[in-house]
Amino acid sequence: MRIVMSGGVMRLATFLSLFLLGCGPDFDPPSELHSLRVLAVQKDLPYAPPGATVNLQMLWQDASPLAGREVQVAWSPPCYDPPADLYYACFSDPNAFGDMVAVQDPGNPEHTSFPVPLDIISRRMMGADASNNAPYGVTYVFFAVCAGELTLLPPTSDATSFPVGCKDTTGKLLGADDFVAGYSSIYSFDGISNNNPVIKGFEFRGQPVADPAVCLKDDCLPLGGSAPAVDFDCDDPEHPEQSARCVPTCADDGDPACTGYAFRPTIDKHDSANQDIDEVSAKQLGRTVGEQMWIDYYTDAGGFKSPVRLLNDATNGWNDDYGTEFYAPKTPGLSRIWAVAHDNRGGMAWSGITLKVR
Amino acid sequence: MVSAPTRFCLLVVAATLARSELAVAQSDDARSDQSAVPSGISGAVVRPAAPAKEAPKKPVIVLPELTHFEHADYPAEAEKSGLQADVVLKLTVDRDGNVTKADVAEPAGNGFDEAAKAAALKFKFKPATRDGVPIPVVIPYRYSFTLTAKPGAAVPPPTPTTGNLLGGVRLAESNTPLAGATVTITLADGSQRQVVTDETGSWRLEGLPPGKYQVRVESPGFQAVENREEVGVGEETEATYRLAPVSEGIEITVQGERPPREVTRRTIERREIDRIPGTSGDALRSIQSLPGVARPPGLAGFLIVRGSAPNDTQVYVDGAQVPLVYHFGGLSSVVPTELLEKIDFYPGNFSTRFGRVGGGIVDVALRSPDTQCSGPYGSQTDRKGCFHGMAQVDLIDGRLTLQGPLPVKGWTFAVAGRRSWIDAWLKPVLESAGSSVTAAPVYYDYQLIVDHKTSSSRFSLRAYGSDDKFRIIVTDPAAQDPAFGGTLSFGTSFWRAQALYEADLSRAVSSNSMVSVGQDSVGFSVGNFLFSLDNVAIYARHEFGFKVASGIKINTGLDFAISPYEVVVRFPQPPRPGEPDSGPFAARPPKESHEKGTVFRPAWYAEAELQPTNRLRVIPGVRVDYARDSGHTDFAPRIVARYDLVKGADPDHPELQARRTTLKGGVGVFYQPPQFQETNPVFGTPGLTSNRAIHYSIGIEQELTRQVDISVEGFYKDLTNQVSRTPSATGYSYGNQGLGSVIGLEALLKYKPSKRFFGWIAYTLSRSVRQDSPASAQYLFQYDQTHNLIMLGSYRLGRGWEFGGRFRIVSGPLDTPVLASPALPALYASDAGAYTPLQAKAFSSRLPLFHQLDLRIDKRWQFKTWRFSAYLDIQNVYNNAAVEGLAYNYNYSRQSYQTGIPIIPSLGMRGEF
Repeated sequence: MRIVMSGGVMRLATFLSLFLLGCGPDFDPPSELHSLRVLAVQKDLPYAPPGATVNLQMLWQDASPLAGREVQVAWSPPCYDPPADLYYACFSDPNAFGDMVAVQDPGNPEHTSFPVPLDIISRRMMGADASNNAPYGVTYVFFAVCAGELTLLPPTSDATSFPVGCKDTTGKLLGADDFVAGYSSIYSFDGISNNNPVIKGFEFRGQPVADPAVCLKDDCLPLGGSAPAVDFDCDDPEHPEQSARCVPTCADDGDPACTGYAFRPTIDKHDSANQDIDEVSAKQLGRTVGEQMWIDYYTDAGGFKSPVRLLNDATNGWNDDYGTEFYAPKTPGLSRIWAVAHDNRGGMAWSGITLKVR
Repeated sequence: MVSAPTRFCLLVVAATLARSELAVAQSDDARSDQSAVPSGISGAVVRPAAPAKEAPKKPVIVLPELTHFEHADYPAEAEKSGLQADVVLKLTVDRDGNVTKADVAEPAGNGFDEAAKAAALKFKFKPATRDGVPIPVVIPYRYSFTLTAKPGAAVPPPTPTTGNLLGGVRLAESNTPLAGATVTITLADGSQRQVVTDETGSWRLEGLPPGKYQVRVESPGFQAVENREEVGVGEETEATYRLAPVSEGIEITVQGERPPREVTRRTIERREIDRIPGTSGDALRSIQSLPGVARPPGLAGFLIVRGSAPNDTQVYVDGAQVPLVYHFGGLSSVVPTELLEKIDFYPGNFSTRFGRVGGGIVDVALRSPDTQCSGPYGSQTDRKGCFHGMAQVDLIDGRLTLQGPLPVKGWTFAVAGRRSWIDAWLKPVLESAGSSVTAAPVYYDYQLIVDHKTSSSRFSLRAYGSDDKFRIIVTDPAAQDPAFGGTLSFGTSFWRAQALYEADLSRAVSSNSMVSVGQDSVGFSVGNFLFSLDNVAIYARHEFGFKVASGIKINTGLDFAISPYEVVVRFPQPPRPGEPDSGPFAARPPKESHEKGTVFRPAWYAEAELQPTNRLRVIPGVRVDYARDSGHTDFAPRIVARYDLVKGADPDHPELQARRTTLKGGVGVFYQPPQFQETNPVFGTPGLTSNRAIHYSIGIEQELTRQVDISVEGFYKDLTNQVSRTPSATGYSYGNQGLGSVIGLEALLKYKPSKRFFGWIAYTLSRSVRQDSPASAQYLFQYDQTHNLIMLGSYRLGRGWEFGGRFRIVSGPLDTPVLASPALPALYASDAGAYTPLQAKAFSSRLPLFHQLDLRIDKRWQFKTWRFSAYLDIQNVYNNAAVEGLAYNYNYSRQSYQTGIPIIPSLGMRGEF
């Protein structure tokens, strides 16, 4: 039998070939925030059964020099079961995004919810096959965060062109630093659920960071969006623990040449939510399979040794060394750190702290 | 000063007795016969009865003896000029010993001739006799005029009249003296003189008349050297010659375009394979320097032949398919060069012997073990039965080879093995990049050949295999797609056990059989995604050739592929080339397919080699393939023809001498079954039929000189029935509605290997397009390369040094750009925490031109019983930052070029006996 390398394996071979020998540019890593950014969108039901209502909550941050400006946050109506699960197949009806432009929740723009149809799975007419692939449905919800005004764009010949734009006061369309659009995908299986990872706290320099300095999920909202960081006194005698979150500036401005300060979110590997079984994979393989989990780290001032860390490997299990090190910036001030823990089934959770650089 | 001849030469090597004088002597003898006695009444003379016949007595001839020498007057002008000379005269001496005539046979000029004649007429001889009776004779006589010094004065040395030729013979590579070499000179009269070099490699020839001589130096096992040398009077001309060994061992033949029974022969000798810069002596990489083969990205080992996908070209080893050609997709080929006998490369329009692919064929043949014995310093002998070994190391791997005779007469063996050591230096690199290395990348391969040959048959057993693997834990997943994190493992292995038998059953019938059994195992996993294939690979082929009549030969055969397999795939559905990015894999549930089955694909083929005239050759053929897995039968007719417009040494075109001109062309149908994932019930659509391609080609080959050929060929491939897919409610729906075409021109100007140099210039112009359906838009094929120009050459500097270079200019690779401003270039896929690009039309952007110079230098030292060689191969000498792709920042709002390999030196050393 001719062994034909699949497209993915071929891409890997080309990727490795270039990776091992090629040279590329040094762009700013995605962990360093300098513009309008969306850091996470959490669903209360990462796997949503038919008939359920799913709530989505966004964590975004304006780390641009213009922070404090007005930012519009909007959500699209849900797009159910696009052909071949292709997100861009939802663009085929650009008028469906008219509500995205028009409808906003002024009270809590970072939140939305939608219902999952009862026939989300059955409408696809996918029966279980001999390989035990469980039938499923998928819903896409698109979001947009715009430092201006959202507008519907005219259709183009490009199938992947996002139908919504963001314009400034002069009518000029803004670019990727001032307009972020994206999507969240919510899968629906019969009888298969998923929990979001659970973050219990934060450790910095090996010491737990006391509440209320740690924000967890909704508590991060004051530390997200356009809200400025909350200042604190490093030498407050009533809160001596705050001094642990004070670090000196580094002339190398967040580079690995700076002193690294170890930190990590506190994630209990024994917490059942962090030990979910990947039931879809388990059904396929006929054995217990854990989730693939990782942590994305972000900061609005400074840098990290490793901006993405493995948390749990489906084959090898838990990685205790999931933390990283913080490198201070050269400018004194407040620096925020976020940690967003993901699993490979759409689950996520976040936490964050504020440091003082002096 | 009065001179007198101090010496004279009486030249009587061949006494010339004028027939008339001898005849006169005989008749005189008759008249003087007094034995008759008169008697009887009638007055008759009664002779006594003739005595019984006895053996005639040989006459005793005595040559004339000079009794009086006459001194000639030395010509005054010649004496003033210090000239000396010899005049050869022809003297007629009568019965009395007087010289009655003197003729000049070899004049000397300058008055010498007249003086010699005048003196010779005054010579007095004791006459020549025959049986004691004086007879007249004509004899040659050399009269020498020699100057002598005055008494008391210094005697000038005699003026030389000849010169000497001498010198040495050495080995070209090591400059070691070569004893026993034969030096032959050809004189003006066509005669030859020979001398053999002594233990110091020296030779000497003396007393040569002045002039130019053709000198030939030869020794068994070495290439003969010829030169013209000039010898001056009284001079010694010294010349040293250096002999190089006759090119040994295997000839790797890379044959293009034509079916195997009649191909466009682009011969690449082993020497060329070993020396092409940038390939580290890898035979299969040398194919990438031929026209019609596109440059692959980076160091990838893809073969992109005439605008076809890498999957469309198949590599065989002695007729059995192998799953992978290169270790880790591009480092080195799985069969080492030194074990190759030949590589047949067919970029298209190949014989019906091959099928199941629509692109090209690479057929690698393993060599017979080498048991030829060598003499001192590598000189070849006619003896066989010796062992050879080789050990080689370079920056990536080390290899050993041993070959020689087996104890059983007529059987020979070769065994080889290779292992990489990139794990030694790559492991720290990976660990510093944030990975925990469980098994650093390592590969090895092995080969065993056992051969038996007779005058009419050959039987060979082979076993070979390869293994690549690595396993790391990526604790810093890729930010662009965190799915590429965690455990990352890759492993491929295969082995084959083969038996081949070739025999001439009669003068008109030949037979060729091959059976191969083996196993393939390919595995790749990252996170909870994996691909695993295990199969038993059974290939069998048998062919008969029948010479039906003069100019008609029929070949027919069966070709089986049988393969029980088990495949497990757990991946999200990947995009196909030309489709937009479907987003990160990280949070997408994988689909799994676990399939077991047996592939059974028999084929029958037949081909007729027709030669109606000695200029025209036509090969029509047909191949029928059946695939049990799809239930389809493919019928593929093909035809190829060659016509020698001008044959070598054509009497109709004498002005062209041996400059062959050949027209060639062909058309054929080629089928390629769909890929596994295309017909798989989970990932694809069962019931697809084969992709179809019709190849058209036409070309011309022209010998420009004995050393230089040029060939130009145009080709067109019409692709129909191509597998493509469209999104559907349940996934993708596959069908055979895809289309495509490839059109191109290849040119090859080649300088065939000579003692010093080999090289070629190859140029390909092509365009390859695809369409997913008749109604959809056409787009450039992913690996389309409009221009590809390669110039390479290697020159032997002598004394074991060789220097080579390769320069390439190739159209830049294609890229699919992201949407241009003011459109958003990417969307944030929140589940993966990464952006997915929003792409414009597929492969609509071409990156900058690629160009690169590679240089290579080799040095070989030949010792008495072994040879050592070393090379330095530098890729990308001027460190051109060739663009291989585009790199983007995290949200695709900024882009920059991703460059390929920097300057890379590679050092290798080899010892062999």
